[in-house]
Amino acid sequence: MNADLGLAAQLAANGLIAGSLYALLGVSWGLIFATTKIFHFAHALTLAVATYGAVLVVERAGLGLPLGFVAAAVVGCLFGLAIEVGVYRPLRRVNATQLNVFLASLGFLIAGESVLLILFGPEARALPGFAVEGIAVGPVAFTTIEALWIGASWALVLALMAWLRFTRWGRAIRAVASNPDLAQCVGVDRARVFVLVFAVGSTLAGIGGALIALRDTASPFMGVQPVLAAFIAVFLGGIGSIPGAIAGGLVLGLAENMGGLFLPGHWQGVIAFVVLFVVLVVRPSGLFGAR
Amino acid sequence: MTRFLAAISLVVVLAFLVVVPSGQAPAAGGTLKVGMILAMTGPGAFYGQVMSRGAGLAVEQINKAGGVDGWKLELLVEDHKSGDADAAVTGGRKLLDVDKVPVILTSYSAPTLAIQPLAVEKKILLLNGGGVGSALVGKPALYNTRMLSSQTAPFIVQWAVQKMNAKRIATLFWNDAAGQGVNAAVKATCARLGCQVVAEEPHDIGAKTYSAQLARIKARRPDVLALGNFGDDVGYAVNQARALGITGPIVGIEWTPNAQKIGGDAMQGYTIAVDRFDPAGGDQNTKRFVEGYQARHGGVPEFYAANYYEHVQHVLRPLIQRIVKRGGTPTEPGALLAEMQAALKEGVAFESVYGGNMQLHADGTVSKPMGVYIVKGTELSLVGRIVGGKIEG
Repeated sequence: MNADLGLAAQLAANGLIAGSLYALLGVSWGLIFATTKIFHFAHALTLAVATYGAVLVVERAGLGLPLGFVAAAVVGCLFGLAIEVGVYRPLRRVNATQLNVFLASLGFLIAGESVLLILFGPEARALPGFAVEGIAVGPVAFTTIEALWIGASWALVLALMAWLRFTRWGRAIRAVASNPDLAQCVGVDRARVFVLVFAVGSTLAGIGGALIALRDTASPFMGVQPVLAAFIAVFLGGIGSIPGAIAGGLVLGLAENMGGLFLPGHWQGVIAFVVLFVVLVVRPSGLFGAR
Repeated sequence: MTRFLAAISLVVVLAFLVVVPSGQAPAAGGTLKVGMILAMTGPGAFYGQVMSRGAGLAVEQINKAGGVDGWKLELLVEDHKSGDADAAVTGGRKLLDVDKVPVILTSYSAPTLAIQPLAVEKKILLLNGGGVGSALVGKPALYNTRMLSSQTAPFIVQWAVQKMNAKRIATLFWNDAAGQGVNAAVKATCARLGCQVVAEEPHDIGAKTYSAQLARIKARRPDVLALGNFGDDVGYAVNQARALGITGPIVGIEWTPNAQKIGGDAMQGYTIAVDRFDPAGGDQNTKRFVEGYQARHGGVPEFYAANYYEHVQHVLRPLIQRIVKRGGTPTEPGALLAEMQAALKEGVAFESVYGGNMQLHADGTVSKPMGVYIVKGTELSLVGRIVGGKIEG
């Protein structure tokens, strides 16, 4: 096969792998942002804390990887809830502005990362227990971990979409995200919905963190880069749109990697922001956002 | 009343005589502050931790033994946030202007280069045991106790060409002075030995994903992949290169136990040319360091810890001793730097934990025993010694 075609195929596969994870993290953060309008930067800390939960269960307690994923989900869920109840809710009570809340979130992230650094040290911690094999399909190569990234991300994203569409609580979340005042008028408890979106979004972030740690190990600062990608995915796709966050994640992953056809690989970060800039200029509401 | 005053006067006079015995100079010594600017936060926080542990152990050992000719050492650590030159300058100014340190131990190429002019201005001795960029050569006041990329990288290309029959080499390297130094050295050596660099892919320090870079490298079909990255990044890069189907030999200039853990089985056959610290080898100095480190922190020390232990135990301690011996004060601005320059002029070799001595040179470089090593199992195995600029073996 022509070397350029082989390169394009490999880069597209890389883009699909990265984009799937961005989509998962995009919906996890986008669900919280669309519903609560909180720029939840500390989502990155939730991801890291949940991943360390998985590492402790698998590495220290030796309970196996499936229980490690359960631990990541549970720790993520509880940690996200703790942030909502312990940080954001008190700030809302005193009518803090969005900027105040954002700064509190950022401060909480920085302080939390430092606590992780003190508790667990700076060294990378592996999440063992997954049989890593190489898979080659024509010119495209990837690993079983990356196949799991794609499978697990899409399973979770589709399950979330179905839950939001077909369940009572899912409809309540969509109602609050769409028009919080009207939703309250028809009896939707906004505070409970906020708690629910933090629980669900943080659970997904926890599982996403464990998926990342399978390939890239866990470290105190591991959350920022993937959650930044999630922000971009949400704004690319259109705030408030779950399909938009999914599409945004995929577009971002593919753009970052397909850019490798023309530019050196370390331009990935620049490409991500250029794509965001172009989309926001051409279509400020994002790919799937309401005009 | 007169008796009372006389008694008080007698006590004061006696106390004065006890504190300052007549005919003797005031007791020598005090506290010498040793500044460090390391990666204490960010993706390189691991290195900051082990480097500060290495230096801290030496300070503990020295102070426990009564100091250096009466001088106790105190360690002050500032953070360059894993390579941020601005943060390094801020930390450097604090150490120089507030703490008045006479010496700073630094790491990473960019932060070291950023604070070097400040060190020159204040006549401060600067010791680097982490950064390897070729730009670190020939900088006044700066002495590197780690061999630089311009010294080690040519040998790995030589090995690739002679032993692996490499004609096409690709590079994956840190996008900073250190990584670019490796890339430049690989290109220069390749030009000399007749091989071709077919792909040059930089990446951010601490990046854990190299998918786009490795895909581009794979498409160029290199015979050998040469790494110009460091620390944990080596493990991630080797692992992902193998996963992506890059099957040819991978060579580099760094290996750490942690990178080995991260890279796992993919590290088999990874080959490096380095001035290697062997915790199990060496002499009494090595033993003293390794046993002390294990007792204090548990686990086998990395070479990063070794380099900063050496700074304090085997470079600063003898320099302070020399200054005190000739009646000087090591905390005086410029004293340590001048003493280093004088020692090098005299051809003084400093002890080392690498086995034997290390020879620092006037241009700021160092010579330590070098070799070519290959990963077998989870350990490095010596396959060639580098003597007089040539590989034997």
